[in-house]
Amino acid sequence: MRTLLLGALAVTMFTINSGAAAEDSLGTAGPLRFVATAPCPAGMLAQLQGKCDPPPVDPKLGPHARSAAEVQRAYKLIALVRMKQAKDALDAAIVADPNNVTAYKLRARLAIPTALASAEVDVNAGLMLAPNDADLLATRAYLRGSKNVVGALRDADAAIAADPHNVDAHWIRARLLRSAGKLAAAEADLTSALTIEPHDMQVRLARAQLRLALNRPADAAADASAVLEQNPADMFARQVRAVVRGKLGDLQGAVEDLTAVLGAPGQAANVMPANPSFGELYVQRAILLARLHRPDDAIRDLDTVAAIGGQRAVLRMQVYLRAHGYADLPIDGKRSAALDKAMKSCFVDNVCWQGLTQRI
Amino acid sequence: MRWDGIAGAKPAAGLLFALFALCPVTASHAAEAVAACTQLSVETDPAAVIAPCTALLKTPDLSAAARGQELFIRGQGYHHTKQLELAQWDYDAALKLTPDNDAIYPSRANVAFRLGHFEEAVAFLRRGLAINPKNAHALRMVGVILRNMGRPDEAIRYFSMALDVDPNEANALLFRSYAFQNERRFDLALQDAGKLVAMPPEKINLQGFLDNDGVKRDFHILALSNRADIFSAIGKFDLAQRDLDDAVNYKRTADSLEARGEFLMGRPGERQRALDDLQAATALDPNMLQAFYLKGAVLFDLKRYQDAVVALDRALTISPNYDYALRMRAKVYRALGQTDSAVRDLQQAVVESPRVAALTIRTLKMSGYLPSGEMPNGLTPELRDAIHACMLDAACN
Repeated sequence: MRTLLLGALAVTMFTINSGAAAEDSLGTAGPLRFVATAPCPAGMLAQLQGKCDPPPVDPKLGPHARSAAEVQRAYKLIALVRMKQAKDALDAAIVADPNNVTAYKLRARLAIPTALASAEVDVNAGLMLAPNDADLLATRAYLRGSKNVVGALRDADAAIAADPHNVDAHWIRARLLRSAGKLAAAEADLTSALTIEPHDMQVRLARAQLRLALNRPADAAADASAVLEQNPADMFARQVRAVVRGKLGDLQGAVEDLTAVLGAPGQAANVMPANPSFGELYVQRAILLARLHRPDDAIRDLDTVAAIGGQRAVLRMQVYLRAHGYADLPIDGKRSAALDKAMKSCFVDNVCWQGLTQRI
Repeated sequence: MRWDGIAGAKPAAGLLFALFALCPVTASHAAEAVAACTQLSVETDPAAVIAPCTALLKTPDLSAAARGQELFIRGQGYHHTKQLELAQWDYDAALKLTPDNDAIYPSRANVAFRLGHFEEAVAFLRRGLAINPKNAHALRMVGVILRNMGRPDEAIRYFSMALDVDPNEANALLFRSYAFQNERRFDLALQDAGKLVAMPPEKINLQGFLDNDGVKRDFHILALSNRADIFSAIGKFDLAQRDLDDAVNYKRTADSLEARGEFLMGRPGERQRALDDLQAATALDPNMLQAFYLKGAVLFDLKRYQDAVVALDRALTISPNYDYALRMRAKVYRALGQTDSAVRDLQQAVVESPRVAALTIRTLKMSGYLPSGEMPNGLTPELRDAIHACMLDAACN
């Protein structure tokens, strides 16, 4: 089932860029892992108001001790999802001790993904102090990946050479290798990471996606199922398995998995169609539903894309349809009867099916 | 401030950039009667050597060696005042008379690069190095070529070879510093940058530096702004600010103000000060392309869209194909709701600039207007439509 490969691309992009699932550790490098949260006994409102914040650091401490204490305070603030306050603590840590590598490292982590340039500055500053720090090298590899794959790979290689057991360095290098088209080498890195930490579900999910790209659906299914066994609510694993099922011809199973992600057709959406990744999934399910002779549900999915996806979803649909035989549609970001008619014709009546497969 | 085209917001100059550093002072003319036709005069006032050299060249009994030298000096006078064809003629005539003068070859290669004759330029460098394998100017130029070919390690090796010959070869230090920065070897980049800053301005400026547009820039300001770039990259913003303040205090010129304005653009809460510097830079030099572009960018950030259009119009008057200015003006037009103008500018930028094409295509894919696995071959109808959609979508950046 070739059409669902598009979903695979969407899954890949989303999971690698988001670091979605919560692990119970901060991880060492890059943005993959999230921090374990520490609920405030006084409740969420009190937490947001800062009533559970750790006390300020004793200003009488010496610079090094004060800096270290600020870092520890930052960790606690992060656990309380008090990110701005955590950054302030790290700023203070660096002011107190400009040679505190951990403070630079943690501040860089906090800056990902919203302030990548700032993150790289902190990573560079840390590496000036600790040139062989595997975490910092791996993080810089992550940050440079989209701009300079060669330089990024060099950093990733250096990170793994400095610490061959650094799981994050392995997945970051795998990501780079994949973008360079070296899928087998990327899989080897992910397998190495899983050897070190067999229960790292994000890495396993990344390997599932990679195995899909390697056209090994059974292996991909095994990885995705392993993730779902541990966390049945993992929507990204669901997406991967939907793609696998589609490839294996199990259209109904694929729809079930997509439904677990998207919600039932026409019902309140779990995710926003304006996001390109999820918008694709609605369209993919519409196609599957049409093939399963459920045109009304297919139309509902298309309606969802156009109705709640906002201007961007409409623009994307207009661009797509114009490229597939509906050249008279305007590009204006506005829903119209002509757009609805073209969507139904293209996806439900299967008029531009070939266009869709070509696109894949 | 980076004049080698690596930094994002510079005019595209392809492989030509950074090859344009002037040749070092290697000779002085002995004929006191015509003192203005000297190598030293080339470095201090290149236009002034042309007339005296021309007069000297009319002397009938001039030896071949002397005539060759006068032609070389006058050629540099033309070269450094953007009269490239005249420079080419003089260099070629000098080479006929003194083919073993290896100093001429890098300058001739430089002109060839500027005229877009890449292979010819490389051939001149080869000939110069065959005569003198330790020609620092030629070695440095080979380093730049290698860097532009994506071979940074070899480039650094050539810059180092040039510096082995002449440890004070300022351009080699500058380019090696750039190369180390690109390789994220900031400690080494800082070493080279520090040596450049330590050179007395009157000495470093004898070596000269031509920017992408052939305009001679103050090397001391360049050295300070280069070191500031490195300090910024490693989070030493106070030191970067100090260097850039030093540059302005040393000479309040369009160059120094533009460099500080660019730095301030990236500092929190400093947009207005950045704008002040950039306004001053553009007032001092109404042809300073980069300052107008940056001013347009700051004004866009400040939501002063009409003013931004004026600044970017000026940048595009100076350089009609300046890709980043076109891209920025497209965003301004989008903010003003002038979709057709926005689409036109972005399409032009994409067509004319591989780097803007790459950036734009990445944005279009991220926004979902282009399929993730495809790379458009030219300005296809699909790419046109995707650009059109993007210019209606304020979040498509």
